[in-house]
Amino acid sequence: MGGATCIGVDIGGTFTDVVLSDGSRTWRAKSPSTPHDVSEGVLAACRLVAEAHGTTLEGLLPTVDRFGLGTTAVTNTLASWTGQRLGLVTTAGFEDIVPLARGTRVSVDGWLVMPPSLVERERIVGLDERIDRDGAIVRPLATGAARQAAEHLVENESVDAITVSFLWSFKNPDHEHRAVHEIRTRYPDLLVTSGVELQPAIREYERATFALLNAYVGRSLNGVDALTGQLARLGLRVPLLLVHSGGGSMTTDEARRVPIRLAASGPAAGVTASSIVARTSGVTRAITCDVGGTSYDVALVLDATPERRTRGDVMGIWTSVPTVDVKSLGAGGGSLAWIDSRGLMRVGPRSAGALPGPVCYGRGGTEPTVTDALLVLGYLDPEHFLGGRMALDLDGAHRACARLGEAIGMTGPECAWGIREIALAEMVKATRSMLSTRGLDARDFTLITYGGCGPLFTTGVARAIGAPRLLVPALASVLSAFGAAASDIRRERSLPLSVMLPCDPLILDDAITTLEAELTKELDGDAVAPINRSIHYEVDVRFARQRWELTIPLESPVSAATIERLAHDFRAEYARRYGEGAVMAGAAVEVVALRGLGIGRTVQAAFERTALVDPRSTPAASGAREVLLERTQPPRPVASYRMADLLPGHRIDGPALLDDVDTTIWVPPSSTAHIDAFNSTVVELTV
Amino acid sequence: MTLGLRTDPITLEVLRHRLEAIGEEGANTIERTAISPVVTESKDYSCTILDRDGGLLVGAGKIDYHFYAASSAVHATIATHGESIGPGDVFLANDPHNGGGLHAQDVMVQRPVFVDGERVAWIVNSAHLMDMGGMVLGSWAPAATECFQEALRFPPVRLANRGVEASDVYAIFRNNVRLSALVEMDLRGLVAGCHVANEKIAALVAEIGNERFVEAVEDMCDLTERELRRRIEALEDGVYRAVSWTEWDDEFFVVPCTLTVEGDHLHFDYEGAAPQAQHFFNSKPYIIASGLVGEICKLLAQDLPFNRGAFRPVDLHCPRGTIVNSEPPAPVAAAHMDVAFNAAEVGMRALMMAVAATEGSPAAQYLSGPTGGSALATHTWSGQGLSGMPDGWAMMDGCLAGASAGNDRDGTDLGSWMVAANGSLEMIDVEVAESWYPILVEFKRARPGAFGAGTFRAGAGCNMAYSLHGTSQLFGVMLGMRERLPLVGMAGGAPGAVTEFVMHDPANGAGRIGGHASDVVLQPGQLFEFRCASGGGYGDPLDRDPARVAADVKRGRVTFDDARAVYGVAVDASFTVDRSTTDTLRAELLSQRLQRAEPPVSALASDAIASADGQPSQPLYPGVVQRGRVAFSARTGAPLAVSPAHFTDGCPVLEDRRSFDSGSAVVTRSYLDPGSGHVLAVDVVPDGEPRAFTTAPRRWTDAPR
Repeated sequence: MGGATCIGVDIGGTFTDVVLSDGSRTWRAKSPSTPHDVSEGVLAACRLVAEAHGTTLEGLLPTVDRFGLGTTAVTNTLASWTGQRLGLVTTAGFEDIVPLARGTRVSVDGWLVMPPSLVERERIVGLDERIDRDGAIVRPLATGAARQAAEHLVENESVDAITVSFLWSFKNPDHEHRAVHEIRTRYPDLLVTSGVELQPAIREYERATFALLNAYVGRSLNGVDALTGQLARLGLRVPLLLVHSGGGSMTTDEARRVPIRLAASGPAAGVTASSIVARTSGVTRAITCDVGGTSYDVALVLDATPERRTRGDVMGIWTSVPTVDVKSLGAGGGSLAWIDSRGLMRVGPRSAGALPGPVCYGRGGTEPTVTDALLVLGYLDPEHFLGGRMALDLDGAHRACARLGEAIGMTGPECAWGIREIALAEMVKATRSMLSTRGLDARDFTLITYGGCGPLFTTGVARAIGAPRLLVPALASVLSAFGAAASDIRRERSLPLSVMLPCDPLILDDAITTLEAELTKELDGDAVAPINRSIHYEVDVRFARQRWELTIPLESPVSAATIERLAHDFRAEYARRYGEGAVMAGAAVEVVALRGLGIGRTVQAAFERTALVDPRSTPAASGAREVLLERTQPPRPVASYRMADLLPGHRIDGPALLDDVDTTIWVPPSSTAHIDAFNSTVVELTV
Repeated sequence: MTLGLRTDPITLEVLRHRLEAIGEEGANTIERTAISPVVTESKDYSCTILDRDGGLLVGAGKIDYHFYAASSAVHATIATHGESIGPGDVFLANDPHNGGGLHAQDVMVQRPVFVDGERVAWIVNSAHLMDMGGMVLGSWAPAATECFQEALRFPPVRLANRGVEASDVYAIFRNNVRLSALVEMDLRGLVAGCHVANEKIAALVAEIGNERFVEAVEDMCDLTERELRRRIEALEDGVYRAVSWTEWDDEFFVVPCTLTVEGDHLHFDYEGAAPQAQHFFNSKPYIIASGLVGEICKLLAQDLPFNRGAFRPVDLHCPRGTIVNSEPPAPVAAAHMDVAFNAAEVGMRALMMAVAATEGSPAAQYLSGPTGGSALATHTWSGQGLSGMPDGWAMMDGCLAGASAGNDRDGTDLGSWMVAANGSLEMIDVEVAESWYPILVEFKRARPGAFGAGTFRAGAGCNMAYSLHGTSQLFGVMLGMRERLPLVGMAGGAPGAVTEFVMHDPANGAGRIGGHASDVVLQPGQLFEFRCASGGGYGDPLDRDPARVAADVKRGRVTFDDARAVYGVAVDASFTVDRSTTDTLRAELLSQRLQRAEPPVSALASDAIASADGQPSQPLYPGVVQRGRVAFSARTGAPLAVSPAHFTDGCPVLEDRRSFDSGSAVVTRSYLDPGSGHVLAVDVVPDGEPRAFTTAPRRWTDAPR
C-alpha cells in the first residue's frame, strides 16, 4: 500500500501526538491536549504536522487516505465517573449480584472497600423469569413486566439509560430479547444495552457489567462526532478509524455500539504499534515497555500479535472486555523516592506529576524523583534535555538526593543510584509477573521500549529477566499515534462451547460457519473489500473446570485429525509452560469457546526501509558524560552520541548513551547497539 | 541514622521485590494449573518462600493464614528427615498433629532449594484440596470423634526423592481420596508451582552468593521485627481481655484471651480455654499464631513486609490438652476454623481495646468490630453430579459473612474483613456454580435485616437458596458457626446476625437445620437456604445519620418498623426522614432504656469523683475517658467507675435474654451512659456467664489514689 497518505493521532492526557506518513517518509508533531474540546488539540497538532510536511491542513486533508485516532474520551468518562445514570433490569432474586461485585474488595488507605458500582441498588429491578443451564425456561417472563420496570426506572428514578441482563440469557436469549424490545418500544430514544447482545458468554456478573459499562459511557463519543464533522468540513474524505482496546481499529459506527471497547485505546495503540515494529523487524516474541512520567506499562506481543485478555478490570470493575493485556505499575520518571518507617528507601507509587514535577525541572519540586536520580547519575544531559529546550537544574537534583540520602546514611549519588535500582526492581517484578501468569520464558523475548525514560531502564529490565535483546523504535516518542495510523480493522466474535475433546468435528465446523457469517457481515459494514479480509479462528482450551484457558489456533475446515492435533497441541503447550509434572494422564480436556478474528487490512502507515551503511562509518562520540555505574566505584566516563548522527548500519559498543530529542538510550557495558534498516535501535545484551 | 545491618538498604529493598516476584510466579502457576473451584474461583491457595530453616520470608497468594503454617510444616519436615533432605526432594504433609497445614485438606507441598550443595531456602505451596478421604466427601466430618476417622493423614513424606517422583505415595493418595482425578490435578499444580519458584530462587541465590543471601534475609526480617516492636511500644501497657465461645449445638466451649501489653512485646494468654473435645474444631498453637499474628499486622503493620520478624514480638500461651492446643486423637478437620478464628478474634478484640486506650495511636483510625472468621456457614454436598458420576463440593459462598462496622464507615457486605491490604475469598458466579453442580439457585443476595445496628452498621452476610436441578438427591454436611452467639460490635454497636440453615419443604414448611448436621438430604421440591452471619455495629444506633437509615430502608435492607424501633428514625413512604418525629422517637427510646435498665453494680464515692477535677483526660475506651482515677462518659461527663474497677461498673445495664428451644440461652447486656441512656458497650454471653471484656491499661489500674 505504498504511497498512501496516513495520519495517526493519539490524544493523551497532556499532549496530542500526530504522525503523518506518505509511505516513504514520516513527520511528527505534538500539541497540548484540550480536554474541554478534543478537536482543538487534534486540529492544532494536525496543522503543525501539515506545516512540517510543507503544506496546510486544508491542503493536506483531502489527500489523506486514512485517518486513525486513539482517544481517551471513554477513559475520561470513567476516570471522572461522569457517565450516564443507569438502571438495571435483571432476574428477580439476583438484584444484588452487580453491587456485590463478586465479593471483590480493594484496599484503600488500609481498609477493604467495595469496587465502585455503576448502578445504585435502588435502580435495579428484578423480574420474575428464569432460564436454566440448558436454556430451558423454568419460569416464563410475563408480557409487560419489562415495560413496567422501565417505566419505574425512567419516571421515578430518572435514569438516562437501561441495561437488561438475565441469568443464562446466552443459552436462551428469548426473555432478554423480549425485555429489550419492550423497553425500546416504550422509550425509543432511551439508550438500552443488553448483556446477551454485547457479550453472549457465561458468567452473569461480567456480562452484566459489560453491558452496564457500555451504557455508562454511552454518550462519551460526542466529542469524537464533533471532530469528525470538523475534519469533513476541512476536506477529509475518508471515515475516521478509532483504535480499540483489543489492539485494532474500528469504525465510528461500531464504536457507538460498543463504546467501552475504547476504554484502553491509548495503551492499546502503543502495543499495536509495537507489534508492527516487531513484525517489521522480524521479532516473534516481544515484551513492550512504556515508561512514562507516572507509570510503567508492560504488555506482550506473541507472533507479532498483542496478547489480549478476554476479561479483566476496567477502572476497578471486573468485566469481560477483550483488551490488550497491559499491566501498569506506578513507577515512572516522576515517581518520588521516600524513606519508609523501617529506614529503607522506597520509590513511588506517589508521583510528582506534571507540577511540580521533578526537582530538576525547577518548578518547585523538592523531593527527588526517578528523573532527578538519572540526572545525578549522569544518564541525562542537563544541557540538552528535550533537544536543549529545557535546562535541567543539576544542583537542585543533587541537593534533593543528598537530603534524602542523609536520612539513611548515604551520599547524594549513592541515594540516586539506589532510586534507580529500586525503580528497576519494581519494573522487573511487574515484567516477570506478566510472563509468569502465562508460564512464558523471558529468554525467548525481545523488549520493545518507548516512552520518555524507557530506554534508560529497560536494558536493565532485559538483563534482569534474561531477555537477550532490546529494540527502541524510531518513533518511540509518538508510537501510539503511529499505531493509530497503522492498525488493521479488527473484529472479534466468540461462541461459548464447553465441549470435551475428542468431539465431533462438526460441532466446531458449525460454530465456525456461524462466526464466519457474523464476521463477514461486520466487515461488509466496515466497507472492507473482500480481497483485504482474512478471518482466523482460535479456541480457548483447558482441563475441565480450570479457570484459565490456553488459546490455541484452529484451522478450518475441522477434521478428526484437527481435533486430535488440538488436544495434542494443548497438552504440549501446557507441559511446556507448567512442567511435565503438571499434566495428569487422562484428565479431560475442554474446549471452552471458539473465537473468530476478522481482520480488515486497511490503508496504513508503515516503517520505511533504508539501505544499511558500513558499520565502519559509525561516527565518533559527540561527547562523554560521567556516569555512576556501580555504587562502590567512582563515576566513569561514558561516550555519548547524537541519534541524529546515527544511520542504519551504524554500530556502537557499550557503555554508551544515545541521545535523541526526547529520550536517551542506555547501552550498558558488554552490549552492542546498532541501528537497523527501519531506524530502530537494537541493543544486543551478552548474557 | 544507622540501621546496624550487614546489608545495605538498597540491596534489601531490591531483594524484597525479587523475592515477591518469585512468590507471585509460584502462586500464578498454582492458580493457572489447578482445577478445584476452591482454588481457581475462591483463591484458597498460597506460595510461601522460607529461609533455610523454615522461617517465613515472603508469602504470596490471597490466604496469608497459610504462611506461618508453612513455616511450621518445614520445621516438622526438618525434624523428621534431617540430614537426608536433598536437592530435588519434594515433601507432602497434611496432618496438623504431625507436620501438616491448617487442616487435612490444606496440604503442604514443600521443596528445599539447594545451591552449590547447600540448602538456602524452602518453597511451600498450599491449597485447599476438595477431598482428602475420611468419612465424608470434603473431609469435614462433624460426626468424627477422632482424627483417624477424618482423612488420610500424611506426616512429612516425600512426593519426590532427588527429582524422582515417589509414585507409591501418589498411589496411596489416589486410592484414598474421592474425585481423585481432580484432586491429583490440584496437587500437581502445587508441585509445578514449587518447581517454578525453586528454579528462580536458586538462580537468585547463586547470583548474590549463599552467605550474602542468608545475611540479607535476616536483615530483612530484623527490620520488620524492629519496626513492629516500636509500634507495640507505643501502645498503652496493661491487660486487656476478651472472651468468646465456640458453639456445638447447645454446648459452649470457652475461648478466653488475656493480652498483656508490656513494652515492645505482646503476650496472648489462652489459659482457661475449654478442654479438647470430640469435635473437629480442636486446634494447634501454630495455627492460632498464624491467624492471630496475620491479623495483628493488618491492624498495626500493613505497610511492613510480613515475614518471620513479625512473629518475634508476639508470644502465645496455649495450655496443652485444650481446644487451642489439642493432642491426638483429637479430631482436627476444622483446626483453623471455629476455635482458631475465635481465638484470633478475642486476641484482636483485646488488641483493639489497647489501641483505643492509647492516646494518639495511628492504629486508632482502624478501630472496628471483630472480623467475621468465626461466623462461617460453609457446607458440603455430595451425590450424583451432572455427568452422572459421583460429585461433591464445598459451598464456599457460605464463608461470606458480613463485616463488622468501622469507626467511620459501615461494614462491607459479604466482606468478613474490613482492615486489610488484600481482599480474601471471592464468590462464585451463579452460572458457573449451576454449570458444575446439579442445583438451581433461587436467590443470592445480601441478607436483609437490621443486624449489627450502630452509628455505623455491619455489612450483610450472603443469603442464598437453591434446589435440586439435574440430580435426584444430595447429601449435605453443615459446617455452621455462631448459630446462637453473634459477633459483638464495638463502642455500643449492636451484635450481628447469627448463622441460619433452613430447609423449605412444600409439605412441612420451613425448618431449621442444625449448624453441625451431617445427615441433611436435599430432596426434589425442597429449597435449601443459608443465611450468613454478620459482624457487629460501631457506636449507638441512635447516633446514626437518619439519611443513612432512610437509604437502607429504600434499598430494602431495613424495614420501616426497624428504622423506628432500632434506629429511632421515622421514614415516610417517599423514603424521606421526618426530622421532628425522629427527634421525639430517639428521646423516648433513650429514656425507655434508662427506665428498663438494672441499676449499676456499684455506686461511686463522691470524694473519688472530686479527685478527678483538673486531671487531664485520657482515652480508656471509645466514648469513655479517664481523668485521674475516675472513668467518665465522654458524651455526658457522667462518672462511671473509680480505678481499678471495670469502667462499666457505674453503668445501668439492659439485659436481653434469648432462649433456644433446644435448651440453651444467651444474654445480651448493654452498658448505658447513666447521663443519657446511650449505649457505651454491648456484650453477648451464654446465660450465666459474667462480663466478657475488660480493658485495664496500667495507667488506669495503677492510677494514684
